[in-house]
Amino acid sequence: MSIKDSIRLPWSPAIKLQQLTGKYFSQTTLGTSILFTAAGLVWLAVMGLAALFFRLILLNPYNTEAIAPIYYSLLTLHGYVAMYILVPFLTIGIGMYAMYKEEGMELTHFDLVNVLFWLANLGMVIALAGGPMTSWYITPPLGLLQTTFNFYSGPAIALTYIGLFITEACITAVAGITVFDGIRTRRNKGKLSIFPTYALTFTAMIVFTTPFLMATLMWYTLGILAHVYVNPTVAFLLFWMWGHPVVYFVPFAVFGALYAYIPKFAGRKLFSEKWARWNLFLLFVFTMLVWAHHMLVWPLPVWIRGFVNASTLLLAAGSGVTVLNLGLTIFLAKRYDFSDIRGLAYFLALLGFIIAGIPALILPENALNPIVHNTYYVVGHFHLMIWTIIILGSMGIIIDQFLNAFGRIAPLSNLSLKSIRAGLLLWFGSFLVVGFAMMAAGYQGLIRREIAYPVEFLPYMQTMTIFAWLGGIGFVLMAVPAFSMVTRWLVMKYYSGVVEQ
Amino acid sequence: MTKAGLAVLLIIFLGTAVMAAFISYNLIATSSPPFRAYPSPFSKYVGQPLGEVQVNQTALASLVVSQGKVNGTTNNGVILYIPFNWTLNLTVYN
Repeated sequence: MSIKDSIRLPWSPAIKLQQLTGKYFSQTTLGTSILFTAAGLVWLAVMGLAALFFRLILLNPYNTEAIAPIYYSLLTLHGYVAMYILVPFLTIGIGMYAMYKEEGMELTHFDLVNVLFWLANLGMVIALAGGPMTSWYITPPLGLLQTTFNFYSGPAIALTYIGLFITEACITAVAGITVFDGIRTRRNKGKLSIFPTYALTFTAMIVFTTPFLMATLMWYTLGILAHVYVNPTVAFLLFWMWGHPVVYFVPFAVFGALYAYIPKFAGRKLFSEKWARWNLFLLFVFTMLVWAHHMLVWPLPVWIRGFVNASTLLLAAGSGVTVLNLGLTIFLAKRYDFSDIRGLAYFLALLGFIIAGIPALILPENALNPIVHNTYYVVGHFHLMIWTIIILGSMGIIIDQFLNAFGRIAPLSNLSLKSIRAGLLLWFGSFLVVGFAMMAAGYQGLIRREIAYPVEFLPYMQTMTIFAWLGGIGFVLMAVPAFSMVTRWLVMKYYSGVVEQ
Repeated sequence: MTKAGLAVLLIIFLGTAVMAAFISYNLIATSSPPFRAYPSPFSKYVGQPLGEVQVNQTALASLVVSQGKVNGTTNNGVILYIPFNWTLNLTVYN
């Protein structure tokens, strides 16, 4: 008899904890991948609502400082949630799903991953509770000023960076565990199929790049608590060494899904699998070599400017090869299956990526960047990317994931399918208008982030706000049927006693 | 061959061509006279305030500090970029 058995108490915390984790923690790879993508959708709704509300504030060109704290808090929440938690959650969820679905690779550290998941969410809540108005760049001096935080004061402002540090540390650990467990449990021999190859590569990129952000956050914490000097240029460089790659985590993971599924919906092979595989190296390496193009109005030496101008164009060439490969695949097919909502989502994601990517070619050019630097042109470009390749691409994968997990006992009804289809089209169309309105206004000089602006830009602001709200309705049309599937599945399984085959 | 595929390819190639033209236009525009740095009416000591001076052109204006090193810049100067199509109203006090 072991010691544990001999001192068994009627109520033991360890056993109770085990019961709780057994009941509430996800214990399957598919379930855990849904935990991350579904949490991603919830955070998307939170940051989207924040954006819809500050868009209303922006309908007044004569805003004063009175409304600034609300506007900048919402704007910062929008950025924090998007970049610090939504993007990594979607990437990790897609990474887990890709390896599970295509190769049967599994997670094994379920309890640890679940704990890290909840801690990551908690860290974000701690960071947001202070009501930061730092913008997601958290650049000093703004990022270190007492007055930039609505609710934290004194040394407590460090809580924002400690919270973000907890979130990023947990995310980095989960990304590492996902790749590690996946590789360990792989049974198939030979080449890894294309979807998990891309999805896991960019899940691994979280591990390579997030430590730069964690170092910045730690530096700020020490700056606040121990008065360590924070050099703004070095801090900003460190920040962007994570801050640029992070924007590629989801798009490049989604590329894997497009490479795998667009050929299926087109009913033919991918135009060139060789291009797709070689391109991965280009995308992976150059993603980490372009960060300084965010600092073209900072005092950088000419050689760095020349280097990032060239490296960004090379990275753009990699994206060009991707869209050409996929475009040729669809072009050479007999038909493309738009009747499947996933086929439609992937097609719109591809189309949007092209439409959003081409106007960006002006941005890294050293001589031309000042024309559009810090204007709505940049905002229009990257939001179009987010609305299409990130959100619509992820939507395609999430619908597939939900159908796989819940579809057998809670299939989508015809009405749900129609609603999702309408949502996809409304979302795409509306945000195309918002994106181009932003770019047109930005090219004419509308500066981003400001609460007051020249009244001549009011029609652009009105267009952006109206179509953003329409796009929001599109999200509801997509999300309600998807989440109702989960609810129905829960009811069928746990209350009606339906057994899955 | 699908129309959707043709549309994707057309958007890739026509879009890139349009963007190349747009970039060329901006390169030419920013290196043409109205956009080039030109002598400022305020660069000499004027003694008395000039009052309002109408400069009916879009310009790249440089604010240069003549002595001392400005924190965070490598060339002792501060460069102010005026967005395209914006008007710069400068009031100079001696």
